[in-house]
Amino acid sequence: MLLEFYFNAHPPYQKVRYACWGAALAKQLREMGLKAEFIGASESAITLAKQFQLVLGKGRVVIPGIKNGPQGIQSILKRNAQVHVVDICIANKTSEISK
Amino acid sequence: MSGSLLINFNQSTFSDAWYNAVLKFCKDHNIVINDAVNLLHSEFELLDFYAGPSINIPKSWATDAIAITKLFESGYVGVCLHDIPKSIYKLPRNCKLYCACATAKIQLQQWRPDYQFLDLHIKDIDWNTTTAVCSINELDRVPETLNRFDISTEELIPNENQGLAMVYYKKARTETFQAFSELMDLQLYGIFKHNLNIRSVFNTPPLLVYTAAYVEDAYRWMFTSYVLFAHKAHLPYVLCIEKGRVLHTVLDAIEKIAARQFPQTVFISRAIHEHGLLMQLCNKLQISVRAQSLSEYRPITITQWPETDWVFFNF
Repeated sequence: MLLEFYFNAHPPYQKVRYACWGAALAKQLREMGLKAEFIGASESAITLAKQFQLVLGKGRVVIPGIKNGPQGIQSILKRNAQVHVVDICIANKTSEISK
Repeated sequence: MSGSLLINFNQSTFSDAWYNAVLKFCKDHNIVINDAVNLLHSEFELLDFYAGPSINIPKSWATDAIAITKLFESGYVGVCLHDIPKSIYKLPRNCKLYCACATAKIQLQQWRPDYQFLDLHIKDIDWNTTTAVCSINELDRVPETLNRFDISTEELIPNENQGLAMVYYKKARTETFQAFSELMDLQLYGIFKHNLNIRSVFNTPPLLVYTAAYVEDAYRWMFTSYVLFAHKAHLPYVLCIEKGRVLHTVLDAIEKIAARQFPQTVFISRAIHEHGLLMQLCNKLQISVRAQSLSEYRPITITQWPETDWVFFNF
């Protein structure tokens, strides 16, 4: 769903490389005809950030985010790379837990 | 005793009581406190360039693992969150060591039988005579040379009457936490301010609420241990799963719990497929599942896209 939000927002990127965290996201991208050139497998945000930084070098990266969502890897990458977090959606509480 | 101490206040997982106690200790012993806000995330990196004693609590590694060692040799206090620090094995003979973790205690007892082990009740700590304090530790991360007792971390169960409140949740999810507490009729402890924050509360009835936005290895065994503890104490527990990509760790944990033949109820805070893997497994293991999405996502209009070489998806 969040990937849909991103692409529905029509990002103006023609030649951009994709990276993702987890095989599930890579699969979703594949189903959209896109290839993830970096697929993070680590469950540690720190490890993942370090691995991605090796690939990223001095490149720039956009991280689509959830406005009130977690900032784990974003906050780590921001320290060492040109990182832009673009909030593409906002999470709202929908209901209480039903008893 | 005097010296300097590096504290990363910004990424604290200490309770106020912890910090106050540490700060008081520093003040009483003329220890200068250096604020390390906005330093590097990794504690390893931090310690690399700061050779002195430190309190460093990186958010990303946040656990309730707490170890305080009072190093008489070098005359400073070090606080380490994620390991049993090597220094804890080098304390003076017959030192008094408070320990909140049964498994850690067993390990330490085998390593240093001369230590006096006392149950950790944080409010009762006598800072004047205490040598060291350690709590739940990520035993998997104990340096290899020290981790020779081959005790499964899944066996780690807090000592009796040492209840733990562990909360691992996203920012702006206090409502979720509140909802859980109402549902489970549990008392809340602590004030949860930070993203991915964890608090441990001692001398309280056990409470287990676990919301996993990003389940790291460090949390998998903690979760399992706490669930086992909750079962042992006939307490309810909640498992809240937020992210699909950590499913395997959760399944793993559930399987292990089920193997112990405890009655289970699992609450999953997202919609799941009725015939999906998780549901299938839970059915197979006769685990009662409650699944309910607690949030919805609404797209935001984006007015400006920055230039970029990469797009990184991590949700």
